[in-house]
Amino acid sequence: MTIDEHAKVFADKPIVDYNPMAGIEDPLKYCYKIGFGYDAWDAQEPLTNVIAKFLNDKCVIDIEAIVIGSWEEMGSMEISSAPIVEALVAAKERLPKLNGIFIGDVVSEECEISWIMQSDMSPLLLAFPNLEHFRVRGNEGLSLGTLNHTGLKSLVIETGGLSSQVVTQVAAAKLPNLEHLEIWLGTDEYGGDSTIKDLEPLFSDGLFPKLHYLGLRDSEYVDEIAIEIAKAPILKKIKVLDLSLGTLTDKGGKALINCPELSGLEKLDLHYHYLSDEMIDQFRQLGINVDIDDKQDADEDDDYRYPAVTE
Amino acid sequence: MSSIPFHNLFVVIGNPENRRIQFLLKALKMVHSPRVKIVPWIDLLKGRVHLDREIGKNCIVRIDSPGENPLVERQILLNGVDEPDESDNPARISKKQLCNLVFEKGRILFPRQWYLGFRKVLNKINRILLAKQGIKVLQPPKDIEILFDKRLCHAKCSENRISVPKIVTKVNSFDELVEKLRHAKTRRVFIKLANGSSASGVVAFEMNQHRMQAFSSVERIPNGRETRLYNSLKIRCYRSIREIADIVNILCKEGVHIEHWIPKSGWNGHRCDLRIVTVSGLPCHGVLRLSKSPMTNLHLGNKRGNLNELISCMGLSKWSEVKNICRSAASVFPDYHAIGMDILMTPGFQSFFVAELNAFGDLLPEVMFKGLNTYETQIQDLMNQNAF
Repeated sequence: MTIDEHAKVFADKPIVDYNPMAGIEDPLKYCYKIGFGYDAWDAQEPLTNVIAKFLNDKCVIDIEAIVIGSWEEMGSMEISSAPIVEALVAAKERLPKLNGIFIGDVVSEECEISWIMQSDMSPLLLAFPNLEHFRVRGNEGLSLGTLNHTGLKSLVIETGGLSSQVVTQVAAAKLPNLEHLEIWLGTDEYGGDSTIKDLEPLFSDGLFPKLHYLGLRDSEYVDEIAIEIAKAPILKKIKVLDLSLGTLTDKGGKALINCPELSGLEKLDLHYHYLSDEMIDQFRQLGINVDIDDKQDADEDDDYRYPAVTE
Repeated sequence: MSSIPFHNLFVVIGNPENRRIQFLLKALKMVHSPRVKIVPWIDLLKGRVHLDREIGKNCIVRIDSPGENPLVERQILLNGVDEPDESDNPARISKKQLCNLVFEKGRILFPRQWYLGFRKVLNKINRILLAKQGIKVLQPPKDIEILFDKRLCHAKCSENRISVPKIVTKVNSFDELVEKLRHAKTRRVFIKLANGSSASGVVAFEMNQHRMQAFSSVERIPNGRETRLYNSLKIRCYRSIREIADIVNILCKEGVHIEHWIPKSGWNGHRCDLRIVTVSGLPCHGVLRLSKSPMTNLHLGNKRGNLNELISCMGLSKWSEVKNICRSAASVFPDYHAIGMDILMTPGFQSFFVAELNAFGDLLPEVMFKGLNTYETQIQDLMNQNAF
C-alpha cells in the first residue's frame, strides 16, 4: 500500500482545490486545498505566492480549514514546508476562524512519503491556539516542539518512519482536549527509530484525559505495542484502538485476544496484518466491532514482513 | 463501411501452441464454415513454409504474436545477427553464441537484435502481401514495425498530436541520464527498453540532490564478467547507485525510451491505469489495472478493479475524454484492426495520456464487451464488414 489518493474530507468539510482565478467561493462549506498537484516540478512560482493570493481573498476571513498539497520542487528535498508555515503564521490575523490545518496532502505518485521535507510546526501551533485539527504527512525535518495546546482535538502524523524525537514530543505533550491521536510509526529504514519505551507515556490514562481514539499505525513493532497496551490503563479509557497497517502477528494478536478490556472498545482496527487464519477467526468470534481485513502473506523467500506505508 | 469482397481463407501467422491462437480459433467458430490456416512463425522463419504459396487471392491475413516460444525467439535473434542498426545500439549476440544458447526463463535477451530480426521477417511478409490481390491484412507489417519500437511509436503519436508523456532523448548511459535529468530538473522518469514488451526491462527511476531509487521487476544476476538481467514477477526497489547504474547501462546498450513519470491516479489503496482495446478504431474492451507499485502490468500479480465503478466515479464527461483519446490513438494506425492501449490517468482523473500502444494487446482473458471477448469482437467486426 502506498498513499494513492488525495484526501476528500478534512475537519468535517469536503476538500476542493483552490483556484486563484475563481477565488474562495464558499469558505463555510469547503476546506480549500492549495497545492501544485502533479506538475509541482514545473511550478513557475513558489506556492507561497498562491498562498498569498489566497490570504488576500476577501472571503479568507471565514476560512475554517486549509489543506496544503505539493509545493514547488516537491521531491527535490531542497524546499521544506518552512516558508509555508511562516506564511500562515504571518497571516494569523486574517484567519481568525481557522480550526484545521493539513500540511502534506501529497500522494506517493507525486512524491515518496520519505522525500517530503517538513519543518518545525511549533510556530504554527503557537499562532493558532484555537486549532482543533492538525494533520501532517512526512517525517523528514518534522518537529512539533514543546507541544502545549488547549484547542487541539485531533492530531494525525502520517509517515513511513517517524523519528523518536517526534514521538517523544507527543508523549510529553499537554493536550487537555485531545480526542484523536494517530501516529504512523513506520520502519527504521525510513527514519522510524522510535521504540516501545518512547510510547510508554501514551499507555497511561493520565496523559490525554479526553482521548477517545488512539492509533499507533503502520508500525514494524506493533506486536510489542499490542502486548504492552493489552495491560495498559489507557485501554479502559479509549473507545477506539487502531493498530492497523503494521506487522501484527499472532504474537501481538494473542495478547489482545486475552485482554478483558477489549470488550469495552467501540472499535478495534487491525486491518493490514500478518495474523493467521485461526487468529482471525478468534477475533471475529469475540463479539466486538473489529476490522480484520487485508491479511498479508509474509514474503515466501525470506519471511520478511513490512508495514503498509514505508517509502 | 464499404463492402469487402468475400474472403475464403483466414490465414494466421502465429505460434500454434499459444493460447492466443486457441482463443482465435474458438472465436472463428462464430463464422459459418470458415477455412483457417495457421502458419507457424518457426516454419516461416526457417523457410520450411513459403508464405507466398500459403496466401491466395482474397485471404484475410492476421499476424499474431511470436512471443512465449524460446525456439522462435532464438530464430528471430538469428535472423537479426547481421542486420544493420540505424540506432547504433551496441548489444549483440553472435550466431555461435545463439547456437549454444541455453534457454533461461525471463532472461532479457538482446531485445534490439530481436527487433532487427523481427523487422527483417516483417519486411519479407510485407513484400509478399503487397503483391497479393484482394487480401485483407488485419495487422500491416509496417505498423507492427512501428508499434514494436517505443521510440518510433511515441514519435508517430506526437506527430499526430496524441497526448503522450514528454521524453528524454539521446541517453546512452546512466551518467548521461543523470546529467540530463539534473539539467532539465526532471526528477522522475520511466526508463523502458525501446524494443521490449509488457514491463520487460522497465525501470521507474527517481532522484534528487540527495537520493535516488528505482523500482523495477528487473532482476540483476552477475554471471562471470557480465551481469544478466531477468524479468521477474516481483517489483524490487533499488537504492544503491551502483546497482541502478548497472541496470540502466545494460538497458541503454539495447536502446531505451525514456518518458517523464506522470503520477497515476489512485483507486482503493492502489495506483491505477487503463488497458483498452480498440477494434476498427473504436474503444471496446477495458480493464482497470491496479497496482501497489509504479508498474501496473497484470502479469505482475496486479489486480483488476471494477471499471464500471471507476466510470461512475469519474463521470461520463471524463469517460468520454478517455474514449476520445483512444479513438485518436487508434486513428494513427487506421489500417490496424485491434490495438491494446495503455491509458494513464493523473490523480483525480484530471488528465489522460497514452502510455503505450501494443501490437498484440488483445490478450485480455475474461474481459467482455457486449458479451464478447476480444477475439470474438474482432471476428464479429469482420462479419459486420461482410468480410467472410
